[in-house]
Amino acid sequence: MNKKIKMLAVDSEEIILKSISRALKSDKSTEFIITTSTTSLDALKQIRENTFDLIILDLALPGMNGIEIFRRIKNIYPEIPIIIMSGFSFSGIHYNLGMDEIAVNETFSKAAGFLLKPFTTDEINTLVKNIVSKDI
Amino acid sequence: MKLLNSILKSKKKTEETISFKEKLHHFQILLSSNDEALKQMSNLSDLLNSGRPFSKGEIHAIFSDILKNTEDVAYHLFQMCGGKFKTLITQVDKIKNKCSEILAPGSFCPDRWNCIEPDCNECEKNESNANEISGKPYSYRVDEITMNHIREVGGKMSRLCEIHNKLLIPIPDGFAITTRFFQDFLAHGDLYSQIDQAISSIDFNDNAQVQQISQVIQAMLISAPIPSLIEKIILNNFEYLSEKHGEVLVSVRSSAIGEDDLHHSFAGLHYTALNVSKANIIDACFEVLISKYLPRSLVYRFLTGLRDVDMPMSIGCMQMIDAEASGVLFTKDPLSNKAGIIIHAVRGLGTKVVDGSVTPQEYIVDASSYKVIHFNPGNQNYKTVPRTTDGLHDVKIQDEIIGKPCLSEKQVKELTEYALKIENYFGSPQDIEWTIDKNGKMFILQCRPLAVTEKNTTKINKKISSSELKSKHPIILEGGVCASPGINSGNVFVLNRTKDLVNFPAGGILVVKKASPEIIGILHKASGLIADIGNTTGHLSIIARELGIPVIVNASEATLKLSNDIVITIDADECKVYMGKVNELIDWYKTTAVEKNIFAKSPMHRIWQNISKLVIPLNLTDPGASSFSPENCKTFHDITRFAHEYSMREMFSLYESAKYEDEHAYPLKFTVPLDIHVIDLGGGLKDIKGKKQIIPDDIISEPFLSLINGMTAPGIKWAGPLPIDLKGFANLLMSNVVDSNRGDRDLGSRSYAIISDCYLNFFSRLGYHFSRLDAYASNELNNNYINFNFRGGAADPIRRMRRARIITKVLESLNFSVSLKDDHVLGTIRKIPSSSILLLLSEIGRLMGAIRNVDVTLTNEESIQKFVDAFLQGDSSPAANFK
Repeated sequence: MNKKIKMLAVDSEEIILKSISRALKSDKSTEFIITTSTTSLDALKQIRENTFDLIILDLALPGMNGIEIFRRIKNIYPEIPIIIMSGFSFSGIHYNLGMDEIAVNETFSKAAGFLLKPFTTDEINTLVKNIVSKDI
Repeated sequence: MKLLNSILKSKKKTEETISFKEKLHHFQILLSSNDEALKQMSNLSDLLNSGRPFSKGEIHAIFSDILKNTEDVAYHLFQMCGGKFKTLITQVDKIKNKCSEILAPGSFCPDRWNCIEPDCNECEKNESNANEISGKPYSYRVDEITMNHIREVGGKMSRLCEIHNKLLIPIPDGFAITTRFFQDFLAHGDLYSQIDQAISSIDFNDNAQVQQISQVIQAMLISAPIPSLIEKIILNNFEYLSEKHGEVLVSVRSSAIGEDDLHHSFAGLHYTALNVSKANIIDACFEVLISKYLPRSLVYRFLTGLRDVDMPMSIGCMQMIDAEASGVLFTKDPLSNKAGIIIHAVRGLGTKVVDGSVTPQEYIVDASSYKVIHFNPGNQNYKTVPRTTDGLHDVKIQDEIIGKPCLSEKQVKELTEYALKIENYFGSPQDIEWTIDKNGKMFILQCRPLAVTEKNTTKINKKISSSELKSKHPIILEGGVCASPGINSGNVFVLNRTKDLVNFPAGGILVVKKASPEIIGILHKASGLIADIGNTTGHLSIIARELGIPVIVNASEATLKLSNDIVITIDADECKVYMGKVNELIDWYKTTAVEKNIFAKSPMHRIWQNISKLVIPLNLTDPGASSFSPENCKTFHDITRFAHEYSMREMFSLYESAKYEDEHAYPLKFTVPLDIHVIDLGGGLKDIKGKKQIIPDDIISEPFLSLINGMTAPGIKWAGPLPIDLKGFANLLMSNVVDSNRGDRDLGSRSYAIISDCYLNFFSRLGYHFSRLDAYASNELNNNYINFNFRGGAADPIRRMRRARIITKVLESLNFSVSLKDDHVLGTIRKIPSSSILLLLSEIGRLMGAIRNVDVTLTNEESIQKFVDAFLQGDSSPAANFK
């Protein structure tokens, strides 16, 4: 029987969310039930009202940025694996987000994985498969 | 000459005189400001009369324009009159202050949107004004709160606690964080004005912009520092709950001021965080607070005319109940279809009822016997339950209980009793949220007044036979439940992804899978809504009824059956969807439907109605009345009227009241033997450098050219200038025809033309009479005018008066309004096109020539009409025939 994974994908760009869904659906061994969210408050609402097995979170969201959402999600569900995703290189991202480097590094240390945009189908599948086999 | 000079010099200057140029400069600004002010007053009036929603930004733009231009008008009158009319400026300030009072936050009483007194913006109910909040506590526990705390904890919390404390109805334990928290937080980071600015700049027709600005405001609030005192207060309250009940989790809900009232439910607009632990309560409180600026909340406030400043947020934190079943109860059918009390119930938490994602069980309960008279099992396979730590999760419902009632008869009775008690207490139908815990204990979570739509009693098929309709317009969808009545047509827009909402076209009919709250943000643009899933008690349905938008829910496969861009007609009352536009139905509906304009009764609209009373009405109508004074200006319109009148009077006597500075007076040499000196204030003459005198070809001032054109009309016989009798002239000066300040000027027998490209002030002394002409001819019709004054003469009083009557009659025939006193004629015409002004100036030029010295020849009364008729027929020298 296929494994079922409930996942939340958060990105302000619908096209990224589409490509995540498409990529993950190409993996036939696992059934992904994907909820998407384009705004920070909506993402938090989803997280408070549903249980997910995995979250993919973009760091540069308008309103509340990804680092802040990451902190809030971890407070609510400390155990949930979160993949953080960014179009900026991860080494200098605190500049791009205008945030404290220590806070950013702390977030990174708690992340389950990193995804640099743009990504290939293989990249995301490999990353997700690793996390899912490890944690769930 | 010595005598004359001594007379002239004896008169003291009372005000500071300014130059011609400056005077014209102020006058021109005054005219254009006056014009702009009047235009915007008319826009303000149109906007208020249209009944359509307007944003603060939109109406403020108009108002500030009126204010600025009115201030300019008063200021430039003050300037051009050399410091006169200072009281007009203070009067503007007085009116402005009255406006500020009306616009101040919280100027409406707590009952403000339900108050029947239309002019009320202050009443005895308004005891606690917004500013007094600063001395009040940051939090209350539920057993301390009554309806008297509505200003501090909002309608939702105060009502709920009231039924608990007064009616002993069980509610979860908890506490409220007051509006002081919200206001201090905003003040702490100086966020008020930033948010206000951001909101004012929103164009609510642009969905994408609403989204974007919402994000900007959210970012502002999230990055703002949280005062540590506030954090501590929230945590202390939480600890108090823990001490009392052991380990607890709470629900964190909005309770904004003005939320949950009869006409403004705010249903589902704000964020609710369920099952929150102490570790996350601060975050959750701020998420709730920030949700005040979600796009859908911004749009809702815009549509319903609620001002952001009037609605500070307060927060209710209540102990989380691990629910066996939950739901809503309406003590009346909001659509007046069913008799009885309506209960919608789901297993687990109630989130799935209010967000429209499941079809709940429906119980219709008889209000006297408390018996269930109708039961619909609904459709629910999953229930939402709280996790042991933060958050919720969905759990599959055991197959054997799916479809079985989740409420026992006893529970239905208990719930109904509570509901009727609440309805009875508040005296109006109620919308109640409830929950039952694992031990069967019932709690009320919320109660708010329920808006009941009056059912259209005339059945549609009585008016139009349905078979007739069917033959002409195929029905493409039938069935479902009417969630909000009405009939309308539009183009189908099937929503596949929430993100596509920004592309929703105004006037379209939105077709969605699920009636989710995000849709509220664009609902006002929709002609109708059809949802595959949803229910009549959900938030979206409540808001649609408030806005009067037809909605069908549970329309099964509408998203599959309807395709984009086809035109359909939705008849929500009958749950039918027709192909094409069914004019018969739409027209019929328009004649029967009660006009539903919630905005016209909104605080925003009322506030601006009150402001408009200080702007639009005109009280100063008669410039001749003694009440025509700055002190009697009660509105901005009065101010502009007064200033306009006096600015023209001032220009009229330009020659006497201004002074030479560097303006040079050029003698004009042309066929008319008048000693005219021309002073150009800008754009009136060609480049005439080096010239000592000018000719008509040098003139480009259109008003002056027109006058000259009239003066030189064929047939006019200009005799040479008459000798001036100095004694007589001095007498005339004494009688104030000429202001005697002008000791620096050689008065002789000169005439002066003070001109600009569009302006003419012509002061002439032809023999013993004086005439003054002041005219403005621009592209702006409202600024244009001619004032013409004629007085004096050499003949005896009777003949002089005959001539004055000729002038009066001619001016009247040319549509001037004219006043005549003795031999003094004053003719005025205003607000006509530039071309007409020029034509009339030419006629006045011709008249000046025609009546020259005619007083001597006016020997009898008949000659007056003869002269007038001949002149108007084009004879420029009628007097020649009288000899």
